[in-house]
Amino acid sequence: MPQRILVVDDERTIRELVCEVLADEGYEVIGASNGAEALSALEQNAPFSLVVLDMWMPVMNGWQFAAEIAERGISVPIVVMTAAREARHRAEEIGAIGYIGKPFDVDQFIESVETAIRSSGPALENGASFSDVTRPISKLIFAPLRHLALGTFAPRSGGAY
Amino acid sequence: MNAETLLSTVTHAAILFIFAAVLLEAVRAPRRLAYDAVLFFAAMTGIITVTALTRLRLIEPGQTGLLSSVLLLLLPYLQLRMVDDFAGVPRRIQALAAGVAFGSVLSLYLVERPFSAAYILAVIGGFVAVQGYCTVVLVRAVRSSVGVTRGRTQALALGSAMLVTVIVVAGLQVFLPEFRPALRGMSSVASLTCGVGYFIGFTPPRWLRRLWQAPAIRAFLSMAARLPADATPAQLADQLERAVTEAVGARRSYILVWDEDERRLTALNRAHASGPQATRHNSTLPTRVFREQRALAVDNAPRMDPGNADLYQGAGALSLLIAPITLGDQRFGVLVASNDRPSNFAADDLALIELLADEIAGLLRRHQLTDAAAHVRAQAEATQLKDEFLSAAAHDLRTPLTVILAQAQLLSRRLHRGGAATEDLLGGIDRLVQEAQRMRRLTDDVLDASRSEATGFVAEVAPADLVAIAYDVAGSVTSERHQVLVEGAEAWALVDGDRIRQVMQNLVDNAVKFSPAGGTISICCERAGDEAMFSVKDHGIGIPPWDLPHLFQRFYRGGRSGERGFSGMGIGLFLCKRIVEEHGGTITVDSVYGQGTRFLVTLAGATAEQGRTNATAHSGR
Repeated sequence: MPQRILVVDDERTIRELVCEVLADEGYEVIGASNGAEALSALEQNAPFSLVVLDMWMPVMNGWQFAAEIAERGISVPIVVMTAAREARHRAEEIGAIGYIGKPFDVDQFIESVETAIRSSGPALENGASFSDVTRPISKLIFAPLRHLALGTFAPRSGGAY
Repeated sequence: MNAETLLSTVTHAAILFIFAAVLLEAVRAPRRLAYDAVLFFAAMTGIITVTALTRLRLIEPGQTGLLSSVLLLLLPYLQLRMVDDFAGVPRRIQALAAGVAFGSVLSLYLVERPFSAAYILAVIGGFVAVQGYCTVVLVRAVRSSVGVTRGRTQALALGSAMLVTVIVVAGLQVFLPEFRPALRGMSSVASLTCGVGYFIGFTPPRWLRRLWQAPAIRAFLSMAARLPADATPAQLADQLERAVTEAVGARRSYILVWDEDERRLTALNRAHASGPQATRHNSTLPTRVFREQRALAVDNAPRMDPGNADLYQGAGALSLLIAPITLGDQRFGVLVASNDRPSNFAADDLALIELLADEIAGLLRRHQLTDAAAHVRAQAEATQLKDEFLSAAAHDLRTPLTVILAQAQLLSRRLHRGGAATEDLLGGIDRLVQEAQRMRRLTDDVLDASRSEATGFVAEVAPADLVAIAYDVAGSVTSERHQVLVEGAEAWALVDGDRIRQVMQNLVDNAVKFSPAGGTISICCERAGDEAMFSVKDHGIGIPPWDLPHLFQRFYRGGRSGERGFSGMGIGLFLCKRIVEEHGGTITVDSVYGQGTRFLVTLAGATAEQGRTNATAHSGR
């Protein structure tokens, strides 16, 4: 069964292109145009191995999405895909496993995705991943902190990007 | 010595003093007014001398009486000449006065003695008429003058009036012998007042001059204090010129400022298109004053500077007062006050003009400073606008650029995979990819350059091989006319590799851009001591010397970049410098205009061992 990847970006052309690139590499890809769509996709479909997440989106941005899945106890590795100069910083902010700066080189993009999936471990038999095991602990410790930080510092949607 | 003798002694002393003073003045600054004053006071001095000699019995009273009478009868005419210098007297009246004077003198010899009462009355009448006319003209001149001139003219009018009184009283002595003692006392007082009046009019003490000047200066200063700080040069000039005109009682005033570009004086108030301010070449009187930095009073400008006579005449400027507007060693220009008649007391007016010119220098300096501050502020605002615009533009460009780059690379991968790739198809896509990558670098640069100063560039430093970076950068050059050579084996530096790649890439892109004819570009990497360095050298058009000092300024594109047909945003080198300096390194340039340029970047070195350990540790990533 192929690995499933959720691509979240409000720019249709980018989203479709990323989907095509990943599909060429043999992944099963689903696109979402904002955090809210991504959230429902996560809840309705079989587990995803990875979320490729744009940060600046209308309706629900990357920060809100990250906070929301933490809230709902959904554990899925995230690779942040945003403006080159800030990608790394954004990834750290939401505890993402990796980052890709836009505009990216396709080779590097694929490599980053593969690295992220490898390091997050294979999906477990019952549909849960390794991180599912650690989730309660991390949630216990980090969720309140993250909530606090996000509530204070996270930019709202509709920024200059 | 009785009171009468004392009074006459004081009067005589005053007259003698004035005579000496006007004589000195006439020698020092020969002008018609000075000559006429000398004649007038020579006559008065003559009368005093003759009287004194008679009293000492050195001369027979009979002869002296005639001589002093002659001199006395000439006084009104001489006074009229002076008044003419002052305020102008119609020719007819001058001729009439001369006739009266010479007729009176002549009659002294022709008319039989003893003189009849009618004759004496006639002579006194002639005297009083002319001298009275002078007094009236002087009083009228008082009304139209200001400052020192006004004060001095008032004194002269008083002197003149008192001279009339003296003669009238003398006549009364003839007709009213019974009142002689009282009239003699009156005559003495009138003579003294006359002497003092002339004394003050011709040789006023310094404190009195200051007193007369004070209101004009005060008025000027209070006007200057009310000038709005944001006044335009024309408004400033207009106000100041009006105040100067008022203060010195000139017809017009001009502030001329030195234009360094055109090397000539031009009116600060551009409304003046002609006149002494329109210094169309470098030989006018104002220019002379500016060059010599010494104030100048000119009675007759057209005569003194015949080459520009039409210029002065056109503006109705006969006399000029010119003073340099200078503060310390900063020479702004000159202040010119022009009039349609010569200044009566040029030295005083010139002193005032100099004072006002000094004040104006201070004002101009202040306005220059506020101008400079406004300029800096406007520039900062413009830069910020540029930043915001560029940043927004770069952000907007990113999405289409992401699509173009990724799409091109996806196509390339699919072609390779499908085995349907042809050489030219792949080459074309490669070109697309490389140009999109170049565009990515440019937008990244723009975003970097528009970031605030506080945000650092360097993420974290680690050993990186400059040679490896150099090969990477060399590989990005797509130009077929250029060849990029990398020299050096290993050269490890302790840097943020991505940022140093950005620096090198910028320098190489520049080298390509500024060697339009093509040629070799060499990147030379080296390790020496604690340092690692690389240089980027081209054989292009080089950088003109005047651009060199500004090269690393943001948005600086070179004075003639437009002409050469090179475009650019002027941020590449600015970024290079900031990145290198944040690393604690240096970047220098060395260029021969027309032959080529070499940039040298020096950074902290690392050892090859550090480098390899680091590389192994990160190879898993």
